[in-house]
Amino acid sequence: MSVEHSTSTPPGASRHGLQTLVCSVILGLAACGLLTLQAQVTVFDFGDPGPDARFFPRMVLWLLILVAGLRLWRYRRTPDSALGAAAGWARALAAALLVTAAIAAMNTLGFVISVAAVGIVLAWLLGERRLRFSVLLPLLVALAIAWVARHGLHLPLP
Amino acid sequence: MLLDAFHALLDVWVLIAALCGVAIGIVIGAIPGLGPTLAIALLIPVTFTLSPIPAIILLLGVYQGAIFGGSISAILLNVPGTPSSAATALDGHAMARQGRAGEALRIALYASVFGNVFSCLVLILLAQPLASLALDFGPAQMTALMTFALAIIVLFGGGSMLDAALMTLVGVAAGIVGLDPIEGLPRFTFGSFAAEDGLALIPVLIGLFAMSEVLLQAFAGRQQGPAERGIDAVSSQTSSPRAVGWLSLWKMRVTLLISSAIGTFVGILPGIGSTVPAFVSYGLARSRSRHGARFGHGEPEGVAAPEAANNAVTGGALVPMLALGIPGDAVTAVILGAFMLQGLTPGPFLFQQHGVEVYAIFEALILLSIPCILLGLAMFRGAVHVIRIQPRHLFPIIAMLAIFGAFSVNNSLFDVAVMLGAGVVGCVLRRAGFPLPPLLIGLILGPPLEQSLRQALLTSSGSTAIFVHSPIVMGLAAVTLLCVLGAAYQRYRAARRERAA
Repeated sequence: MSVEHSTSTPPGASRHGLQTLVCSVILGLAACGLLTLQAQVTVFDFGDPGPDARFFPRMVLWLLILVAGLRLWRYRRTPDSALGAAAGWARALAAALLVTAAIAAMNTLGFVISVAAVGIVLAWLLGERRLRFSVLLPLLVALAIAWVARHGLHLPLP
Repeated sequence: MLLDAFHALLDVWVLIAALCGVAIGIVIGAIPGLGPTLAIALLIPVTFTLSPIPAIILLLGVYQGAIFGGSISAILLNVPGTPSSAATALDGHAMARQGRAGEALRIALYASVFGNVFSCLVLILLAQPLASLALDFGPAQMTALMTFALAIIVLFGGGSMLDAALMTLVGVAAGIVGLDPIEGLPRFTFGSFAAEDGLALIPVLIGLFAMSEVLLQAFAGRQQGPAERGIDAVSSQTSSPRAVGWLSLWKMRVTLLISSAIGTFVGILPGIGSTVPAFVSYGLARSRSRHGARFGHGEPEGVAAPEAANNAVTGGALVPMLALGIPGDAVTAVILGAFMLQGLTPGPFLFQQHGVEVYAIFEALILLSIPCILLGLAMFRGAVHVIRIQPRHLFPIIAMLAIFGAFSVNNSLFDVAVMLGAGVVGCVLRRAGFPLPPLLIGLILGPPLEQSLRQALLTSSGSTAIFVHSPIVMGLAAVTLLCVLGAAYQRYRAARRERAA
């Protein structure tokens, strides 16, 4: 995923980078939204005058397509921000997957274990290798959150 | 009303909330990379069991404390704790390097308090009349008002207008998910029952500002903390400060007044935030000063001007938020969410239905200056240790609090998933350099904009004449058009200057 810089673009920038990618994804999603509008918004027509439930989404999605397209065209020759290092994206993806796993396992393992696991693995991902900071601290914080939630805020945690 | 409101403040929980809020705000504001938005978003679950007044005071205390706290790391480390403190760092850090860190911190504190009190007085004067005016607004006028607010965010929010427009529309589009506000029909829920309530504001806020920061830190990997970048060079000077007398503050009175007025005015306009007024005030103070050449080399007025301005934004931004339900920036958008959770829906009816609570909050905002000064003075030295906290210790805790915060809103794991989704989106958008505040304000204003627009068109049987025949709508359209022309002219001048250079 790392980007090779052309000689005409400054370091940290590329001709087609993250902004172009984000814009293209937004454009694609808005187009998909428009195509699936009929299926996703069921309208029961009773002959009322005025706009129906599809009116506003249709307007916003068309505007989104227009602005995203305009942005892609306007900055087509401007150096874009580089995608960044693959290792960085892998770490961010790992962190996101970790939280996803914690959400999926929370009803089975309980709040404290799932959330402490997130803290422990995240501390390790961020480069902490000492046990008291990478294991003990997240565990204590998870216990503290659970205690405050149950006894202070009266929230039922999984 | 004012007396009733004052009586409502005579509660031990209000005092505890004010002290805790300001202390937490100063600590979080002092840590580079964190800010009031993240702090308030994470603290919202704590307010669930509090009654409305202490709950809102806790969050406003965090807001005030964090804006000042940002100046601590700016002055001591030259690393602004919040973006709005960047202007403070110019002269504040120069003073610290000259052995005047204590003096710079005290000037920042007193200027912050001055700006805050000034803007709160303006808030008290303006909010209620503005809300009374807005009571006459029908759906057509509300449509025009919200369109105006969104246009201001796009035009003057800073950065590329196309980026701001794109993000605003993404926010408005995200607000479409869920039940349609008029007919109650599900839209883009993909058959999910949980999605029919739409994307809950608080989980989205926590995801955009807290979880995205965690993911960005994970992306960056192990980083050097501020402690390893030479904090010790200036931190010891906070213990031997030079006294800042009333006389030196009196000499800066015009700068403080002008800067506070700029901050308050810009705060009232939606979407601009506190960074722009801080730099505008700094520039103005330099051009007005007889010691203009000293700016950037440790001039006390160079610390006072941006600090008064960025704190004055606090009260200013609350004017449209409380009176019209339109958040001025990302922080007030988060506070708006907290108001709604407490059953205080911001807008024209807020003053009619919850007058005592609102005035109590106004009075508390002014009184918060007392703990702000006391805790600010007490925490200068402690803040130095707070700045030393390493990201690898801090961000796992933030991730854990973010999961808890998102879950606690509705006791729903779906909300935690929404928070994570918003975090991933926020991380990618921030990496790409797209601004998040327009997205957030679009998400907040999208549903009421649709509701007003469709109500207006339904009452006129689909005719757009309802907009044309309203003087308020035409007036707001004219102001919007003037703003568009003004922004276009500003861009044209900037481009011409760039070409000439």
